[in-house]
Amino acid sequence: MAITAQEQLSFPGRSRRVHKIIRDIKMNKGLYLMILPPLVYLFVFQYIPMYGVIMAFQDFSFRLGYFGSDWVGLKHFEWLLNNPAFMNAFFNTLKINFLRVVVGFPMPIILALMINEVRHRRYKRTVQTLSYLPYFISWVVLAGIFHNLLARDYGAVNGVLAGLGLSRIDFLQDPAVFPWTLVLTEIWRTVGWGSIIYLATIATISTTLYEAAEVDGASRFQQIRYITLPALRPTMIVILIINIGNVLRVGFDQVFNLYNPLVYETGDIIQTYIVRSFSVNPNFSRLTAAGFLQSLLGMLLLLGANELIKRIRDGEGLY
Amino acid sequence: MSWRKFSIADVGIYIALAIFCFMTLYPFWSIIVISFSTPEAYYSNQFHFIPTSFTLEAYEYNFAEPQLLRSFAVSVIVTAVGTANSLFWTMIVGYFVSRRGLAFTSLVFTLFLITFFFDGGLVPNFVLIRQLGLRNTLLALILPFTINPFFLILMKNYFANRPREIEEAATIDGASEFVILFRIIAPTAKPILATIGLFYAVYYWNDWFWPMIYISDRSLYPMALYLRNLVSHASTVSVDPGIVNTQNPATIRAAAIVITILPIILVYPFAQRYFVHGIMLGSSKE
Repeated sequence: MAITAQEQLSFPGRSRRVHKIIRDIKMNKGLYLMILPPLVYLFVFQYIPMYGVIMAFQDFSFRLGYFGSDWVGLKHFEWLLNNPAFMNAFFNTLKINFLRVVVGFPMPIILALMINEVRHRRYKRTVQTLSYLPYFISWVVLAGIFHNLLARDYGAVNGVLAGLGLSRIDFLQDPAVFPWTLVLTEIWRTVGWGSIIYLATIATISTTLYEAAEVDGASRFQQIRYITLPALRPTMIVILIINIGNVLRVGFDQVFNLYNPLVYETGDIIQTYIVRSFSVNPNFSRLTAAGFLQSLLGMLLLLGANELIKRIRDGEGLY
Repeated sequence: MSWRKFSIADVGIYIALAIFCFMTLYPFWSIIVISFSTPEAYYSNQFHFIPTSFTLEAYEYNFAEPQLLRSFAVSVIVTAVGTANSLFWTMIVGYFVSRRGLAFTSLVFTLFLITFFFDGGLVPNFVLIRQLGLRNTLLALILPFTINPFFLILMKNYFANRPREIEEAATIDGASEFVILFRIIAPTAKPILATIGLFYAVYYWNDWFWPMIYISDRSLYPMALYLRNLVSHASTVSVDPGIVNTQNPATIRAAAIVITILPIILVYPFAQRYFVHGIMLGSSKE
């Protein structure tokens, strides 16, 4: 914001600034009154639980509360890092999300490029409309559907495989296959939704670029390669960073509704580990420590991804 | 763009997209077919593409369970009240943080943005709800989700991009901020309100996780949680054992799934034209 001449003159003057703020509040009384309830909400429902994360360093009990419970330092973290089930979930989280980002990232771009080549408007709009639909359906429902579709003996997908003379695949119970089941069903759900942003970016590209390319004799493939893809690059980078930063918080709904004890070995992730322990044998402090480790990892991934992109693009990160 | 010949590549793309549409729709279609199938037909066919039988038994069975109707009602209430509450407050905060020249706008926006990156997680939230005495109340499914920071950003960008002359004129005429926001600004912000309202509604309708944590009284289960229990404990559906023996749980589950997604499928064709537009309006920065 530009500094006005008056502000420069009255600099620094702390009491002046306080005075200004009071005048600001008086002048906009209505606005500040309206914002009061949301601030109370923010404090109670967001910041108190955030403060509650300190129980990861305590032996929390309801009787003693956040202020009375004993401090135990890193005890719970040590327990978790030495616990095979947690470490299994920890590495699965990384593996599954790595697959999800690497395999899933190009799919919406490919879909957007294909939809963009369609010239019949009605067909184009129909494809787009249908492609967003799965995004709005919860994993509880989708899990119910996929349990039918992917079942080993009665499922339609295995029916097709058997019809083609291939061997049946136990998508939901074979530990070696289960991570791929997660990745593929997630792509199925989100590919259309993910393509919206790319289609919107494509729509902003000036048509004169394509016309000039055509005059110069560029093929359609060359037009995509040298005009469309470079124009999509900034969007791709932003989406990639967001995807990497989000990896640790997405996926819970999906895994929790699709997995079963047979595939814990490859399918259990940190969040499912936490929720399962919560309902079986809740040690509140320990589970909060597990959640804290997950947030920490997510933060590191986000910062790391941004740093990497910065290096690649000569100092041009997302933030 | 000049007219090009419809080439082999075009044919390939049209066919690939047709297959894509089929793959998107087929899972939903098959579950609808199963829900109207007799148990015998269900077992004799594994594709469920072309209906080979028709019966309403699975639906009759589901609607005979009083909890299904109660859960449906709970979901309708939570979705309606939750969406209205969220939309109201998100609009107020979005309007506040989009205003320039106020002392606290950027501070308030930052405080909300932080919640986008950090949250307390499962246990501290559970502890809070328990200590507030909100367990086994529908308020626990509404209040904590009042303002979603992502939708707040969309709302703020929308307000920040619109012309200010009208509200400035209204301010000079002595209208209060509240009147300006709800009489003058809200009616012109319909696309973004429709978009964000839709997203909130889908969130409240689909949520099963927090109900699972906060609600232990079965009569207060929303539809999504009711369905989850039905789907994951398919073999233990309570009721008269005679019915369980003659009925096929798979068709019953399918019918419950169709009942759960029906509201979304019905609203979707009308809502989808808003949300693409609204997302674009909100995602452009000033």
